[in-house]
Amino acid sequence: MKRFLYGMLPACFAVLVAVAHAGVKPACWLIIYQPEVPKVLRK
Amino acid sequence: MLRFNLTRPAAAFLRARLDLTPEEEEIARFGLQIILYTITGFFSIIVVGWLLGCMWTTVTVALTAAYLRLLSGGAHSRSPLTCNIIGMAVAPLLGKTAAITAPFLTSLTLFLAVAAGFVLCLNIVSRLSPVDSPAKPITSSEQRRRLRFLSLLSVLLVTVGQFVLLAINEAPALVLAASLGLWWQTFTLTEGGHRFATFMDNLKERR
Repeated sequence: MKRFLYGMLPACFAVLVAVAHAGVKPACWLIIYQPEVPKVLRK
Repeated sequence: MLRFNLTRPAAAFLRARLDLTPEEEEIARFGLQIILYTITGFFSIIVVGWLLGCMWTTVTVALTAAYLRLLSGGAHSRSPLTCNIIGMAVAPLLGKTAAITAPFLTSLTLFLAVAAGFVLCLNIVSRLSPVDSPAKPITSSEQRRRLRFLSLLSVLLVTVGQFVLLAINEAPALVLAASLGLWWQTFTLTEGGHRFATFMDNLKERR
C-alpha cells in the first residue's frame, strides 16, 4: 500500500503543476486571499 | 499568530521523495495552496450556510462573487485564515438576507433592484477592475484590458441569467443572492473594500 501511494507521487506532482499553471491566469483565485505566485511562474 | 502551514511540509515531502528543485517545490506548494484554500474556503461557507438554513442562497452568493473575482481581482487579506473568516461571515450573512428579504419583494421591485445594481456594478468594474495584489501583480497592459473586458462580460452574463429567472418567475431568493454576491465583490474593488480587508487583518493581528 505504501509503495502504491509513493508510486502515485509523480502523478500528484503533475496535477499540482497543472493547477499552479491554471492558477496564474485569473486575476484572483480565491474569494479574498491570494497565495504568492512563484517567481518562476510569473511572466 | 495562527497560520495554515500544511502546504510547506507537504511540498517539502514531495521535494524529498521526488528529488525536486527548489523552483519545482515552490510550484507544488502554490498548487497545493490553491487546492487546499479553495476546498476549505467553500466547505466552511457551505457549512455555515447550511447551519443558518440558507445553503443555496449562500452558495449562490459565494459562486457569483468568486466568478467575478476570478476576472476582476479585489481587496486581499494577508492570511488564508482571515480570508476564511470573512467568507464564512459575509456569504452566509448575504445568503440569509436574500432568503429573508426575497419573499417580501414583488417581481417589479426585484427587477428594479437587479437593474440598479447592474448599472452600479458595471460603472465600478469598468473604472476599477482588475485589482491586483503584490502576491500576484498584473504587469501586462494587454492582460489588464482583457481582464477588464471579461469582468464586464461576467457582470452582464450574471445579470442576463437573473433576468431570465425573473421572467419565468423562478427562484427570487437566488436572483437576489446573485445580486448581493455581485455587489459584495464589486465593493472589494473599491477603496472601502481595501479598508475593510486591512481592518480585518489588523483586528486579527491585535488579538
